[in-house]
Amino acid sequence: MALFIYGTATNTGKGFFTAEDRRAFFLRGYPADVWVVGNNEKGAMWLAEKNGVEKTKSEAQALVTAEVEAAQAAWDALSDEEKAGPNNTRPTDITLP
Amino acid sequence: MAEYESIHGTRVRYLSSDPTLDSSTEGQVWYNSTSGTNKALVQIKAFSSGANTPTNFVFSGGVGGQTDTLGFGGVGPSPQPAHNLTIEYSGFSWTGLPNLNTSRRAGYAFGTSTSAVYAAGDYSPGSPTITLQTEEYNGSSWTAGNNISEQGSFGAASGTLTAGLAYGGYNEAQTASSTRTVSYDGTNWTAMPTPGADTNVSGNFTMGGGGTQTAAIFSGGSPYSGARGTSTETFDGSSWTSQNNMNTGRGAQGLLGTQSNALYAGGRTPARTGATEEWDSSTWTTSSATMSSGRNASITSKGGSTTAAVIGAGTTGSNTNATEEYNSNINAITQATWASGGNMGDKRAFAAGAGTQTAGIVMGGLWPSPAGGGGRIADTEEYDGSSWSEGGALNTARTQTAGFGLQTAAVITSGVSSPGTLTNITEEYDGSSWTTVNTNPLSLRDGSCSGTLTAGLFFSGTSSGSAPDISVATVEYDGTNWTSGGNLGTARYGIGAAGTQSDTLGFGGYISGGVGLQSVVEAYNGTSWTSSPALAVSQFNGASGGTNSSQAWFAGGLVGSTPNISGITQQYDGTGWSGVTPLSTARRALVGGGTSSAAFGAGGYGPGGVNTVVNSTEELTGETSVATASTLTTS
Repeated sequence: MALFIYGTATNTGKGFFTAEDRRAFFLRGYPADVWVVGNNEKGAMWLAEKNGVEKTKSEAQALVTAEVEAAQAAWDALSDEEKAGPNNTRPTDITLP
Repeated sequence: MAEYESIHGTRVRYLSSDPTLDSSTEGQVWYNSTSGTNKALVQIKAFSSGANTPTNFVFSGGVGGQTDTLGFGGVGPSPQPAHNLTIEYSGFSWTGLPNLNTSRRAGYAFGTSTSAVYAAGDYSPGSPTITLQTEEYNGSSWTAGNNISEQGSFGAASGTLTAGLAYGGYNEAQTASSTRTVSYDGTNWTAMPTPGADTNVSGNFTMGGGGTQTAAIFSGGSPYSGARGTSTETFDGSSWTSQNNMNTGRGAQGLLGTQSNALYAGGRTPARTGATEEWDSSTWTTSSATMSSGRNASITSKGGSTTAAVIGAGTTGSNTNATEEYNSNINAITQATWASGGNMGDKRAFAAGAGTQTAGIVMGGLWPSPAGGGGRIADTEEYDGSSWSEGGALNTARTQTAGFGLQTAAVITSGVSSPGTLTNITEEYDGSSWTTVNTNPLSLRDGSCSGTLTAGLFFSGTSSGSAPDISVATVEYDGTNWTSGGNLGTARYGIGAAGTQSDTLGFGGYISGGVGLQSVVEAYNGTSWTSSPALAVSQFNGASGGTNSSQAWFAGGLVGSTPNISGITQQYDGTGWSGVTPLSTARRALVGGGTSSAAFGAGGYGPGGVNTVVNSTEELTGETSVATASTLTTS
């Protein structure tokens, strides 16, 4: 059985995930509203209740990669002076677990 | 059937409600007439996951307790030969330490995490090649001692560096099981002289071993491919005595503990088991706690408590890096964790934060457009524990700034007011509007602060990010004027901060120029800074908070040698730092406020870069520990 469920869901703020949710299943958020959810009953229920759209891992990875690549392209287009700004490092690739 | 009174000499108390539950009530049994149930305050036993070992450690040596478990030698990730790695578990993460001089597995391990011995063992599993070398660890390095005699590998050991005992396993030539017992005095090995001293029948794969040189204990063992032994034996300094057997025969993992209290978690039966048995000086009882996966050949915290143990790495059939922590406590512990809060009106990073979870404030910062640049934010948002609302606008928009105080009495100072321009402008907030007040003597970015509007503290920061420009200065604010305080011991910026003007903790940070992230922690007493226990993991540019120099939290930011943006959360309880459930979304340059019991973290950006600044908020609910009675049922 796969360790994780992958999906997209919009963080609506308060109550989107609770402390009880965090204790009940693995949950990590990524760019493009991608969420990696522990593959148990409560995790699956959470994604469904949040009107999430389940994705395959490769689909979820593609969404994240597209967002990061867009950010990287935007960064690459900056002037050298802008790139040299404090804390302004090139966005790094993200690999989903 | 025996009655409770005949066993314990007392009757079960008849109560209309549960008594006050604390350590003094532990072990008591009563009848609750309101709920109609028999109840008791007993130890709650459970395994929970810990951090993974950095690589495989199979048939390694292990000593120490739950927060200082030392693992050394073993095999993995390849099946052979053995390696010489040493790692230590802090109760939070595993850290590499100086290597053994001689690679090996399945040696005799005893002592403590700062005074350990590893003797004998083999280092080529396919074709065993034995070493008889003894190595001693002093907390910083391994040095060779005199060779062990009589013993080969896969046995058990007890005691300390200067009073140790090794027994069982394979013999010196590794051609047959050993029935020998040898003692170590810190220099020399001596075969136990009395005939009775070498009669233990432990055989192979006993592993582990507990107690002292004159009060040792082991259990289980026997041939690797055959039935596992249930026998338990104790040693009194001269002879071994058989004790009551374990319920399930097992080996190749090892007992930890003492003759009075011991634990055997996992092992091969010959199938690998996660079951755990507890020894109470006379009998073994199967624990209600079971490891999540059956395993053997693990690192165990065999020098520590049997109510707080570590089982790390080993094999579940294939090598595993997983760690499980065992805890037995009368308290029901609810782990600290983060939940989602309301989304801010603006996405922002590098802002300042202050206040509490239900009365928080976020000031200034950077918003995410255009890519990599963004603009400085002047506005303020206020949080009520549920949603954010717009506050007054700063007179000077700024980023990489610092703020302290409360939602209705806050201060913002320092930061970057336009690209490349540092500011020392200070403003005060009354809950609705900002007023510019006396300037901070220090024009810096990425400084840290603590305290209140009338008793505040600003420290560290940098002007260029380069090492010579990192500030160690501290200034105190009294609501009107800034005056100088004591200097930090270690120059760094992006430090987490907690506390008051006269009781502040500054933790982590960054030193540019190739030095990197810091785990340094310092406490300020109103006059000077002194060292405090270091962070478990170096961390920089996260959200932080806390009430004083004994209670603090640090979430998100950058960690590791690369470094990476993380959601890691560390908490300080006055004695040490430990990890709790991380933020759901890894991010840096977020801000926060509140205590270790109730805090918030908001904004920041993840690995996608500064163009992916977020407006999401997470709320931290601290760990709770409540003495909890168990309801007794029949089965």
